[in-house]
Amino acid sequence: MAGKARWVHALLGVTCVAVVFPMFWMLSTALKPPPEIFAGTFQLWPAHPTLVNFTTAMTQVPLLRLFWNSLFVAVAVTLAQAATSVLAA
Amino acid sequence: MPGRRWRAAAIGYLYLAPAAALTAVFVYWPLVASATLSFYDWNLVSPTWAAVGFANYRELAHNRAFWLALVNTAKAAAALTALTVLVPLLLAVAVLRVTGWWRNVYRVVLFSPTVISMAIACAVWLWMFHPLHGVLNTLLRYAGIQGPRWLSSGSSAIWAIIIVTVWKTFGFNFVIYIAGLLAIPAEMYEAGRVDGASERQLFRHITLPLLAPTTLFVFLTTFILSPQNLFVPTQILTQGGPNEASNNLGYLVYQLGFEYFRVGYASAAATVIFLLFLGLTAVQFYFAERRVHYGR
Repeated sequence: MAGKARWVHALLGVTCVAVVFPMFWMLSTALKPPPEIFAGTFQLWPAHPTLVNFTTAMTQVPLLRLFWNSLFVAVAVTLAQAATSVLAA
Repeated sequence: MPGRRWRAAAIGYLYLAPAAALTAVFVYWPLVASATLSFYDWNLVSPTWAAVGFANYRELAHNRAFWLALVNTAKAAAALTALTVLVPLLLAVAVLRVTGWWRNVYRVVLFSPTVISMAIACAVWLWMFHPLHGVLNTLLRYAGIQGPRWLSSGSSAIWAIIIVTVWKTFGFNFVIYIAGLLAIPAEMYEAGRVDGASERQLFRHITLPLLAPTTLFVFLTTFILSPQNLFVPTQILTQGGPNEASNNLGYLVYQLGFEYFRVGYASAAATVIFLLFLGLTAVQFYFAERRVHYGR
């Protein structure tokens, strides 16, 4: 039984690593200074983590406005769907 | 009491009205309008529509991009349906064999891509697919393998889109399978064990039949949503290229209508696709209804 459980954990563990990797890579790349991004070598975590990419994103596009728009659409759609669906059901 | 029954029915329709009116205006009306438009030539701005009969349909039948898109959509729908029905089932069965807090860790992790917006998921993968700086080809290079030019090669572009779509959508079916598996009464398994059934027999004769309604739901929604789920990845990753190699029906309609401004032609394509999927869904329902046991 213990051997079987180990196989289940192995299967799920490998799958989870594969599933999480793109999200982890997004975070890791976000923290890398641009030269490290283009280095062409595999680097799991930035050697010199930096927040400079976040500053660029915040100053070069109206990020807060975009956040607000997404939030507004999400809330409006949820409320409208709940209202019409509750009545219909 | 015909008056009271009429009143009850009227109140029922009144409750139904908001949803029904919105559906009529935003779903059925566009369907009819699009079918009508398919017999006209219109460029989205001209004040007049030119009636052209079946010319749009005839041109569509001779369009190489349309047939390529049809083949790609079939390929993608088959791959998506197979992968996002079988893999989540396997994972759900595996996760429920785990006890304690690891079960919740696995559930959260496996569901997490579903929460991300498709556009963001595509942007991340776009970067990972980069032939020189992308992490996939960097890792393959370490393994001594020359990685494919994922998005710019005709043979791999559609598979890159399928990979992203599977990654982003399988978590939803996984959660539905977990709910379906947990709804199977434990007494069934106990009775099976008392009768000396093996684990494999329990799975084959209890789990699979009682899970059939869940599987039907997952199968149908995955199949029907697959062309829609392809649109965003196609738009962000390849724009249907290279040379139409990763195009699909939903994206083709968008291209015809809003890049080439041939709205009548696009409507003809949309109408063909609608009828095709309506027919396929009806066939699936017909066969599934006979096989699925709802336990009543």
